[in-house]
Amino acid sequence: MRDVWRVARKDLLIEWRSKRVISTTVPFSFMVLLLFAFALDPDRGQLPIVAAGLYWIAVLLASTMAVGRSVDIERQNGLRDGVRLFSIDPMAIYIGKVLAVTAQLIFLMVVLFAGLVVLYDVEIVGAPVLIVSGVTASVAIASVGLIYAFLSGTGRRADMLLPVLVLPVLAPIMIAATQSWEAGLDAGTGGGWDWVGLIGLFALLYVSMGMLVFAPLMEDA
Amino acid sequence: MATDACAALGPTRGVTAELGVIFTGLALALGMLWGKPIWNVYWTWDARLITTAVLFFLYIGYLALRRIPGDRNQVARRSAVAALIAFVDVPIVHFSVNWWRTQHQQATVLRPDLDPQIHGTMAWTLLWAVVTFHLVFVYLAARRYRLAAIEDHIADEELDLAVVRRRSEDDFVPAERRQVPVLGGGA
Repeated sequence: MRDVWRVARKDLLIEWRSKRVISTTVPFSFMVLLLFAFALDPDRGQLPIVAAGLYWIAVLLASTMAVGRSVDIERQNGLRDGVRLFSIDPMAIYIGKVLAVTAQLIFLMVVLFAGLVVLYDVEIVGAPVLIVSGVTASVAIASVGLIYAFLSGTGRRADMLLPVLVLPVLAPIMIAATQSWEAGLDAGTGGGWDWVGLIGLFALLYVSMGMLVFAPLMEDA
Repeated sequence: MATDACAALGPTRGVTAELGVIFTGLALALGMLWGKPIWNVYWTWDARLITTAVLFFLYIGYLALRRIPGDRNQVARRSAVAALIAFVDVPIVHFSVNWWRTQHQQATVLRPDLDPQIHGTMAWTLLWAVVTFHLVFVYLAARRYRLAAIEDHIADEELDLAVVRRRSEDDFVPAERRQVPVLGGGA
């Protein structure tokens, strides 16, 4: 358990000092929001209607960068040898990294949400639904994203392969998160909490699967 | 390790996954052709269609992952993990018609109450189609497996041939008579 915090703290400290993830994902996701606004012609008032979906697309695309970076750190520093030397449980490493990526994603989502309110003129009707579904979705995205990032290796090919692999797996989460956010942003649709439950189910499934497969995966990291 | 046992089976190389992609693609394409006269659209945003399309892309990603070079065990292990995660979508495809209100009718044969609701002649046609497609699948898998085995064989032969060719060249010195240069030692 202590190792979990150590790994998470280490990853967040590296990010705090280098600011590699934040400095790429935040501008990138803002660009996505802006480009959608240009493409959909803001005059016709469609933006508040589709805001939730566009927000989650931006988060999803940015998240592939965040998990890729999280794996890169370990590759550069020889994760496998380090684990052998210090005999840390691979599961602790996995959970720690999931926590660190989750924290980064939540930061990104908060910043991006401010942008959404300003740029897309949305109204908040159910803040609890927004917060809970945002947090659970980022756990789910981080857990499955990390597995795929470890799978696809490093280098140029990995950068190309990772979105292809991970975006279909994240599609159910995006659908559920978009639905619950639509309920939280606009009184029109109800049932936001059902979708939050579905995201929670996926998060649980992905985290437990990641805990199972991470140790064998790390052997050839 | 289980993956080592899998590697010992020979060049499976995601043969069934390739066929799965073809069959899923066929299901989507034929379903679209059927949808046009019946629903008047080729494609609609229906839960079963979306989950099936996601399945299609998941296994395309799986095949892309398999193409990353590495030693056999490594590839086998990576692919096993990816296939495991991708499989999560299969039950979702099956239950999608019960969980969401879709254009598709709810499950008719594999119902939760185990009481098939299907007319006799239709049931026989369905059974016929299911059996036929399984046989086609087995046949294609056997052919593809054989092709993969031949490919592996050729690769091995080429390596042997290259070794023989190198040995027959004039400047070839066998390993035991080769002089190892000593670092720092003068000639």
